[in-house]
Amino acid sequence: MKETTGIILAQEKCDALRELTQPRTAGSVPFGGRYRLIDFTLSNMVNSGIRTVGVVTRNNYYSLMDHLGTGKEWDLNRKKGGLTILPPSLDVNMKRNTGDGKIEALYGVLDYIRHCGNKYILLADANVIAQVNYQELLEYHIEKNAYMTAVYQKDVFDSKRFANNTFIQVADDGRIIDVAVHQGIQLHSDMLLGVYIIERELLEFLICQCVAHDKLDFERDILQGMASDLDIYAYPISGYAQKIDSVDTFYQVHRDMLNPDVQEAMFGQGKVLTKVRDEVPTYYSESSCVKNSMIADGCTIEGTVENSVIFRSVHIGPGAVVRNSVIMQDCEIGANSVVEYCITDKLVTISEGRHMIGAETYPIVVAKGSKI
Amino acid sequence: MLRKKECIAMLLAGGQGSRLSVLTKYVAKPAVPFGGKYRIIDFPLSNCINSGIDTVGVLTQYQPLELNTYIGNGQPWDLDRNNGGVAILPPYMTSTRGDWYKGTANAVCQNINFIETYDPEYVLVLSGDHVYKMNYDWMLKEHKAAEADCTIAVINVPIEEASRFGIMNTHEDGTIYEFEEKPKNPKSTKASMGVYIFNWKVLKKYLIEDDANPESKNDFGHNIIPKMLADGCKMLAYEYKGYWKDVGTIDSLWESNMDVLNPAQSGLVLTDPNWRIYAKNPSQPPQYVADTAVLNHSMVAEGCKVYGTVENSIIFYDVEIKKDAVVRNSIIMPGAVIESGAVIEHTIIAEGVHVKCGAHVGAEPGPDGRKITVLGSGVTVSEGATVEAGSIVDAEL
Repeated sequence: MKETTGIILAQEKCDALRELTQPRTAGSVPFGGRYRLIDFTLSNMVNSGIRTVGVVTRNNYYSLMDHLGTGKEWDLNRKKGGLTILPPSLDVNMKRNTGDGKIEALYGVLDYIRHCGNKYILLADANVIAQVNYQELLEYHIEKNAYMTAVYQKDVFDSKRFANNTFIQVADDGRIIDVAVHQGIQLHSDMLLGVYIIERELLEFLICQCVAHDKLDFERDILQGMASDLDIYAYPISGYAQKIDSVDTFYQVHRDMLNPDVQEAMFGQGKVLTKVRDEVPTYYSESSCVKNSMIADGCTIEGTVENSVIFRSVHIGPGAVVRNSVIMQDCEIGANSVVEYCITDKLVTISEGRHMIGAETYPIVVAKGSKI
Repeated sequence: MLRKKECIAMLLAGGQGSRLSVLTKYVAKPAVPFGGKYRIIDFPLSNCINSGIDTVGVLTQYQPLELNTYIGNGQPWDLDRNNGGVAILPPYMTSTRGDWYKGTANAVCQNINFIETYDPEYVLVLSGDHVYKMNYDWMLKEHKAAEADCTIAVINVPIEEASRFGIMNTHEDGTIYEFEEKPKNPKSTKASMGVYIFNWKVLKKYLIEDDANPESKNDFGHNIIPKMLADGCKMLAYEYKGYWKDVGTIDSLWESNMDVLNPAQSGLVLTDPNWRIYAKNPSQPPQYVADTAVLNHSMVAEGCKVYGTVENSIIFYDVEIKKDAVVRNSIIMPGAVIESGAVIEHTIIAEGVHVKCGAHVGAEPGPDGRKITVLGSGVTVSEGATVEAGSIVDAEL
């Protein structure tokens, strides 16, 4: 895996994440009590033995840069390779903003790709929650003698996801034979996860060829347009996997996480690495009552918490009730308030006695820094 | 040539801490876990960086492996520096001699060369076995203002306890005229905290003299300080007000951990964003608290899975407390597993201990006073077994 460079596209826009991506890229959306979405992809790369990673950003990338720093939490502060953050470059030939932006983004970092010195490139979106061994993906790619290999999730029947995702049809030998971008009805049930492996020189060629022909949509112009000519293979992901592409999935994954088996599958053996904050352990007072919840460090819990995920340094006041909710870092839940089916972004204050109640099918998202 | 530093710290971390019994069998006292995620040495190291001292020599000798690994390049304390930073200083051989560190003063004396590379004006000598938050910079300012040769930090202790400490008898202006080690009839309540600032030129002279004296115990408290006093050096007592505890015994370690749980009463506040205590952060997911759990006045760190009852206790990271297990008034260090039905009372449980189903460890103190039970690192308590209150367990039951 040492001869592979990982490229994470943290820029993927995601309107369906509503307020959560207003102040940040999808990759830096806080997740799972103490992580950000990108931690999973980045940790998977590091745990698979990749030592060179470039993170491509587009806008609002301050929180991402702050989070990644020099890459030392992932052991990526290396002399050779290591982590490189690739901010957007304004190229005069390329300001169209059409398609999914992937080709534009890759064209913008073509120099990095050219000079990274590795034989393979692993492209990945930053919004997949899973434990993936990319070493096995590379072995599969080599064994199939594939032009490119794409990672997919089998049997996705959630009709809400048809519109925002790309589905494929896979032949018995693993080749992709049809690609449906943003299907309106169910054509196929195998969903792409935005993870591809390809030889560096082939990727360079593809990108330059696409740009030369003004074809700027990775999925339509490369996958769909070339699937019949090129040997593009598909690799099914096994175990727990979720693509966070909407508030619904974001909320659902947090609920899944309260299942100890899913916890083990996601975080097993402390494999997911993230930036640390020097917090004290969490304090539970006499008046606290916590049931079936995941709680990060630095919190003070004086009220009731049920079926919820609480991020770092949250204060839950006496008499407050937090149920079926996701409360992000540095939130203040006032005494005797009630919060149900809510996702509160960082630094939200719910004042004393307030009631915020959403629904399972439509959790309320409270934007970063709001005071209620 | 390294750049000159005004003040560097020498942190004495070589002590065995034999009074901590099984807890220091495999680790030096400064590496003993404390307060849910810390180790004792995090306190002086964090104090240094928070006081603006970025060069720290850590003198190690007893069981240094875990301590050395823990300190690493000093990154958790922001002490990974190009110029300065943290340096681990074990005893070493030279072409003519080579010795273990014979005493605290000897340890510093053997590292005169290390200190000289930074050409400091002042040297701060610390010990690695106290829990406190102190701004050494304020102390240094007083030391400079008084033009003292040596400043010793002192804390007021109750007069009935004064005979357990090294006591400084001072004039009105804070200068010390007498030092008494564990006096039977203390004249003052100013106890030495084991925190010294010396003018390096003066200290160097006394260290070399002391080293040449075969009668000396090569100890700061026994030899260097009395000798400097006798010679008429200007010795200043710097009065520190705040939380300070020598966690050298099982009882005081337990009490100090409980003080973390009651910051309002004890004054040991670890949540101050302006005076963080830094520690190496384990890579662990958030803690999971199950439906069956009851948590009451307790601190729980990352990666724990709590299914049972926890009252008035400190639970370190990566601990599992299964259903129907009860943990009361106890300290449970990283990686321990408490199986269902087990009861833990008034106990310190070291790293990696496994308490099996239905076992009963320790008991609440009776009228005869406090009896803390201790399970040493790696101990397994078998199913249904009872560990008597006050026992200190090291081998398999």
